[in-house]
Amino acid sequence: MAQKRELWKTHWGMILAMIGTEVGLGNIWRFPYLVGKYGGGVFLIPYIILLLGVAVFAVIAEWVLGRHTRRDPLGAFEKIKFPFGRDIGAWGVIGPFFLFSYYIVITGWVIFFVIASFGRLYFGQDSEQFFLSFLSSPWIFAVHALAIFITSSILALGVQKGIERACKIMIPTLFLLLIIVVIRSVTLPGARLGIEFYMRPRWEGLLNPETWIAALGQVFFTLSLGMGAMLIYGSYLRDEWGIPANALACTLGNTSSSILAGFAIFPAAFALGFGTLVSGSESIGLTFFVLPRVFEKMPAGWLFGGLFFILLSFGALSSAISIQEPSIAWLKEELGWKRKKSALITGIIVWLLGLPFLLNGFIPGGLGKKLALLGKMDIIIGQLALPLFGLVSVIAVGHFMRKKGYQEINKNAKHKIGAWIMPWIRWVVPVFVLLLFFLSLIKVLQDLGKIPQIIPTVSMPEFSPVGITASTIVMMVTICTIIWGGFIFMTHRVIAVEKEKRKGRVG
Amino acid sequence: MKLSFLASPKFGWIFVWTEIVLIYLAFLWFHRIAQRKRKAK
Repeated sequence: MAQKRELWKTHWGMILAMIGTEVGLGNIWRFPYLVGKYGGGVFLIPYIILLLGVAVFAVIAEWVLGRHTRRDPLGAFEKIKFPFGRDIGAWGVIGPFFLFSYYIVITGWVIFFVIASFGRLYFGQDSEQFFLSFLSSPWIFAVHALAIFITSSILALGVQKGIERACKIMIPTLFLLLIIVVIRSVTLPGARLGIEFYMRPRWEGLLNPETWIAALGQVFFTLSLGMGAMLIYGSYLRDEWGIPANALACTLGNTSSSILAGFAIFPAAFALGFGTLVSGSESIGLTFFVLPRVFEKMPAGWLFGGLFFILLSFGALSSAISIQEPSIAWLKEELGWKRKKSALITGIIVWLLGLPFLLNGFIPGGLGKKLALLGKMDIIIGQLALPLFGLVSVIAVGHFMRKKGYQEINKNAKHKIGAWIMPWIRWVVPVFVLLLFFLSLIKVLQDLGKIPQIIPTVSMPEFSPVGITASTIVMMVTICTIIWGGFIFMTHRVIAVEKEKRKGRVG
Repeated sequence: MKLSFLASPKFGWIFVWTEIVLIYLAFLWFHRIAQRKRKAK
């Protein structure tokens, strides 16, 4: 029954697969919006503090739990003898599967917009009306099935030949396309205004509690924590790879894509006269209503629009495969099914689960009505269940693995972490994750009108008179440090491996 | 029951919660059977 467990083949492939999990729609359509809204460049301060102080440790915890147990999420919780391990671990399989059921619907939309951009389908049309009519067209079924077919096919090929190989193509291409779109965006006449909006620090943003809440939510979701994805990908890590430095490298790689995305969106939007519209739009509105209008007006917009949606679909697909993988791993390891059969069955089930979301689009009315079911599922799964599972994963490592957990963290690590990490994972990280859960709960209840407004909304003043040159330098240094740090780390790692190989040969 | 009930928020919540609970329970049941089979072997 027991099948030989696959592991990542190469270090570079593992890094790209992990970045693939983390880089998703949230990086491209949410992070730039949050930066623009909450104080411009200063948003990076709470973001990086929470990223390096809390979220990286949660990533480390999930990797440790995965690698130590070498099991699917359910099996991992059972193996460490976590109380109610089976019932709680089941959420590590079922939670991501529900998430996958609607995430893949949105991935389908993105794929449609690749076709729509190259075919100039939205050119000369009202973008909002175009999107609404798309939701009630046969296209929606075709792209949904296509997206599931792509992810299931990749997963059917296995960890090395499927996930790793696909990410080796998708993630470098994503970064390359992002850089091409950024260059086009920042070289448009009038792009300076967009850069100013995006990066000009408005220091008062730091005093706004909403900024910190938004940063906490973003760091947690952008790293795919609590989705079982990090846990299952962590279980494929080789023993010879140190966890802390790799977790940091992946996290910084993810952050650099988020920052770049803002440079792709805002300069173009402001240059082409959609500044106010873009700065006030979030998520779906920004991506499917506003950006098509920007690309329509841009010289060779069909090409840059197409490239932008290709990179967005790569980000979405690489994340989607990571949230389909826990259920496939469970079928393989607990039921002894073959990978191909598991991929096929999960593909069919998720297609069926997605149908209500698609049919919902045929209900007459606005976007709120057409996306009602999808929104409700996101509230339960994305905003409430996943933070809770993330919390449980951290508690599992901090309280139930203790010494074993600490040994696993530093196993074969070149840069070892001191014993302080365990109390940090045991007490500090859970407090922040719990805080995130309660804040999400309050926000959900507020939005549903069940409770009065508790979290204060502080309106941000207009641009303060801070020199654009100084602020741009500060932000560019931050970005360069992140990108440079990531590359140096990876090069260092490659050189170190080469040296080890040479030593081995000489020895 | 009016057909418009299917488009109401109330039905949406009932549908989503039912789906989540039923699939979760079915999953646990399926897992238990798998474990029993494994132990029997």
